[in-house]
Amino acid sequence: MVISPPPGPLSEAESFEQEALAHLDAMYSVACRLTRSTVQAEDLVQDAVVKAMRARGQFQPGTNMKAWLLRIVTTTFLNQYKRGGLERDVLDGPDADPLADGWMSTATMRAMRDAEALALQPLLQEELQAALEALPEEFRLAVVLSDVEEMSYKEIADIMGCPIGTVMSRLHRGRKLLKSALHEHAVALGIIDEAAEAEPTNLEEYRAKRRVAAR
Amino acid sequence: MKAAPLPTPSPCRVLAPALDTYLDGELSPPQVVEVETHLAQCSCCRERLALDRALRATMKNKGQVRAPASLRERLRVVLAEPAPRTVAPSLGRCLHDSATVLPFRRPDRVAGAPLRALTKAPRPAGRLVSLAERRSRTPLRSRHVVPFAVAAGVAFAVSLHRPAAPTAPAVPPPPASLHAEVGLDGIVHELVSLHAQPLPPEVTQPEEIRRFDPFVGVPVEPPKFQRFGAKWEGGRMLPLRDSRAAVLQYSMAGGHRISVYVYDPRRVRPESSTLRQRVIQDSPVYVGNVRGYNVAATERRGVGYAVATDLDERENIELIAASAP
Repeated sequence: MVISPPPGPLSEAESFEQEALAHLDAMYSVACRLTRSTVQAEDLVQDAVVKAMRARGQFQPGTNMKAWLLRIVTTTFLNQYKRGGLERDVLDGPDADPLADGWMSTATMRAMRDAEALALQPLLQEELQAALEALPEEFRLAVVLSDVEEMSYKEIADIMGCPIGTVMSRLHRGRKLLKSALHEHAVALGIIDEAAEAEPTNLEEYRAKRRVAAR
Repeated sequence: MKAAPLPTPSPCRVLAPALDTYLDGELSPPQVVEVETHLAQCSCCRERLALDRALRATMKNKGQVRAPASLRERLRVVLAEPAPRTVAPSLGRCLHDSATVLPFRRPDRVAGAPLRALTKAPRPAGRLVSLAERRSRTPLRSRHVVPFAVAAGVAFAVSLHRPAAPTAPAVPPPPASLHAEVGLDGIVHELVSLHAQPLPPEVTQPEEIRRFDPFVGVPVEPPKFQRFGAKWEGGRMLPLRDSRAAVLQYSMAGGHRISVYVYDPRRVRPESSTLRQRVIQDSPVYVGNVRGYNVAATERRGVGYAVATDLDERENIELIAASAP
């Protein structure tokens, strides 16, 4: 008598596949930010998933699979689009003067957000996407992993393959660039009164000028 | 004379970088106390914090994108294949450098619970069992999963009652490595030849066409052209170098005929000297005229489709879009 096998437990590969696909939205979100194209993001995620399935023996059960998958997305992207990795961009990036500070007045900062929604002004929300896309890759990736995917510094460091200190500095610089881009948009959109901006916004600079003037 | 002491930086200046880290929840408890003490006294830093929070909330809100259903379907098709492949040829080369994928050594904070299921899942008893299991499982999966991927409109019951695929010995083994020896031009010329001088169909029942799957190497789903007034006539297999493609034939009022070629795009180079590339619904579609017949070709979710008709180009594009929903 032939008995057809019952629909038994999933094979190791199928369990792994199922668990990996549970992180598909995160992989796709990050891929969209990295490639800045939904079409390329789909290709990137597909490659990363196939690669993850092949390399699943290297995944250590008990570790964070989302971070592991996002690392595969990132390395696949870097190997594909950025032969030389990220560092070169950092050196040439628009961060030549790390001391340049987007110091804004309290009124300006208040004008940029929507107090009721606890979010940015709706007009600036629209600009956020463009501002984010304009960020250099390593800043964009760090900001997205932290702010969208809510990864820890350690997890981001593992994904990006850099020390935690580098993650912190990329995050800091990335957010600063984002804020100054949004600030420019806010001025252009008339959200911020340019006359109000005429007063010195950099407190240190203002004090230094005062000191010089007082001599 | 001693130089004047440097001005003490304002606490805001010192703490501003820490606000980021504070919001990220990565400060040590003493640092948190220090930051919060300052925040209690400084409206400027409170405002800065509020802006940072607003920025993050917006980022999270706008940044989380759901993977489109098309991607999930595509992955199901790709993962159901015994030998994984990539649809994007440009990305293909990084598939092999799995050396860059390194294991994590950190204990998991997020995915602990579901992982238990993984570690508890019993493994097949041995190599022979797992091979046999794979053999029996793979066609089962592709019969049930792939129809969803290719034609979402097909009811599940239909796919369950689909006739079984031919037994293993009748299925030609897939070649270890696929060489795309044929260009799109080769495909459309063969298609036009058959369209111009059609051979009688081998099967006339639409559901029988699925028996072609293992020979073609991709799921063959007859496109639904009813809304164009096209009537299904039948289908047959055609040699395509060392493999086969399926040709599906339809007729329309006014003596028009439609031939649809379903092929494994891994065997076909996506290049053509006679067809123009256009982008329809984010996918490249090759269109042109071959020996008086309008043709269009595209790849959707790992399946290649080409149509030849005596309709115009726009109608052809509509047909090809309907072939590959």
